[in-house]
Amino acid sequence: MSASAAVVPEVVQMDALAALKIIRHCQESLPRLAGGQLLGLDVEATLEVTNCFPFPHEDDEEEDSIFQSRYSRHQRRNALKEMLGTRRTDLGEFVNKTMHFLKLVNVDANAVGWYTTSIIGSNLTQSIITQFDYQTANPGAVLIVYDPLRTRKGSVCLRAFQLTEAFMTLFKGKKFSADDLLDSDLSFRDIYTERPIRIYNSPLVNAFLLEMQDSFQNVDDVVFDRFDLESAVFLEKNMEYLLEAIDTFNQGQGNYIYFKNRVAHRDEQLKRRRAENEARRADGEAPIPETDIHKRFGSLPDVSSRLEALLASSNVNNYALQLRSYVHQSFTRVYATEAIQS
Amino acid sequence: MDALHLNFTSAPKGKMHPVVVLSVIDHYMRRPEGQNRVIGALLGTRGVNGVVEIRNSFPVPHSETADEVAVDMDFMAVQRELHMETFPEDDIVGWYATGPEITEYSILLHEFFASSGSRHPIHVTVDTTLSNGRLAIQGYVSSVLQMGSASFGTQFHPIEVGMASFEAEQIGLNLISRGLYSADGTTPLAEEMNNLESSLAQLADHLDEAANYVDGVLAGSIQPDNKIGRFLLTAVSAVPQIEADAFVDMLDSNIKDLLMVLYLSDLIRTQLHLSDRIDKVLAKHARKEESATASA
Repeated sequence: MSASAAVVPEVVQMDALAALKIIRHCQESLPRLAGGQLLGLDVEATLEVTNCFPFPHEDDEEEDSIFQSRYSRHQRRNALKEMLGTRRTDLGEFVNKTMHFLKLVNVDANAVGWYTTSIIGSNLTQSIITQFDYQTANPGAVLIVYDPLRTRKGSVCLRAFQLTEAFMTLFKGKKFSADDLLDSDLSFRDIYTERPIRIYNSPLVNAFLLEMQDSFQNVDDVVFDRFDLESAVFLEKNMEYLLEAIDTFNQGQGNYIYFKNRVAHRDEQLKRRRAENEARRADGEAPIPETDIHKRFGSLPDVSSRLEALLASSNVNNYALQLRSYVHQSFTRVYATEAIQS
Repeated sequence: MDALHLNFTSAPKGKMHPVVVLSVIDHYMRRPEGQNRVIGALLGTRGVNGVVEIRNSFPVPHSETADEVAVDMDFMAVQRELHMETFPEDDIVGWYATGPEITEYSILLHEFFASSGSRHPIHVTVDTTLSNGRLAIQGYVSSVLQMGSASFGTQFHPIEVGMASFEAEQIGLNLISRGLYSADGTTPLAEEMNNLESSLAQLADHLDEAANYVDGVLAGSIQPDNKIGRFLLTAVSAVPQIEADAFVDMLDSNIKDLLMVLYLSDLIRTQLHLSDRIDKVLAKHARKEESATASA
């Protein structure tokens, strides 16, 4: 990394307080998707997240429930986008006020990103717009997602993401034609990069944990929850999302191919007409106008932006990867069961 | 005849979420220079059975000098409002202070909190100075000593404050307590697979321990304990008795399912990568041809 460039953090270090607050807020808000602001400091290659505060819930959260059927998810996605647009000012005011007051009590009142609930990474692509804004303001900003479904399985699922530089540049210019993608050599794997997370406990926090050790003896339960074989929910949900992502992908693909074919067809006809006109002109006849061809093809919908396809691929990839990692764990569990049974 | 009334509204119990303690600790560590203790508001709900659930907190700036104590009331009012926006069900139920003891200002502060929102506030001290080598957490309620209509003092009664937590908080605590013995206080967030591995290792340890015990008892070197024996029996009988064939069938079908999912998901990914590659190669090729015809 060059010394002159703004230092992009390589590790995200979360204070125990911030981690616990995020888990608590996201979990408590279920089935609603919760989100909030991360506060902290950039210290060279480490991004310290020392505190956070939740964003208030909107009143009309109906469309935000994760238990909605998948047919309404597209509508929901659009609604969410609109909401983000209209709510900005309101939310901005809340954030500014809260930050101002936190500063008074010496909290690191720097926005270093935001967090959100995410079921198996399902809304990572929707988060791009917000994350883009954060990263424009502060190149080190991260998005931390908490996955309640995977946390249930006995280990905490907190992940930190950042948009890649290449993606940021493209997104800034809103350039996503096939040519642009080719030039930047950006593939669907390069939208987000994941950053490792470290948890930091201050000595006093450790003192508290030692104090508490008697009152949570069931830490073992958490440890052994990981052997839970009943995993259909996770698997089903993941597959459902995967199928949906593939559907979206195929649909986009179909549209694109249709668009391409139509364009090719039109160009072909135009070419023929022009050749014909050329011939007619040579013979001294009046050329036939091209308007009827344009009329026949109408205005073709512009689907030249490959952003949707890129995101769809990234989604499919994401779900497939998670299935894979899940299956690996399940193998371990199943074989452990076998060992115990025999 | 006048009697001494102890106005003791049925002794409540406190239940505190770990997040609150962590917030208090964080507040203490960020206190202004020269200030020995910090205070703040506790938020939560009052249950019907007198249990106060303390779910959240926010710091309140204050200053103490030899002869006066000042609290930033505006700060508190706005914070409360902001907090209500996110957690509408919570309200102020009391206040916290750091340090081991109740000072003479505690009564004034307690009255202030009682007058601004919470009728019978509870007071919790968190001993961040570790005065007895422990991070002691103690709750109090106040009662007014009255003789007839004349009151002549406020008394703090210690009450029980326990820890409450949700399942997710437990998992969170489990996560942060992994950093308990690391040198610089940090722990990397482990992959799920590593977690599973450590769980397996723990299970193996437990089994070894049990086996050692049983061996010891059988060899006569350990005094047998009926209680432990009964626990062991329950544990062993908890493993369901399944016919070997049936079990193998179950196992096989389970593994086949998993393999199928694995295969399909890998296939999907391969397909994606392939189409991405082909797409790019084709596009590059097309571009090359274009430039060739253009230059020709």
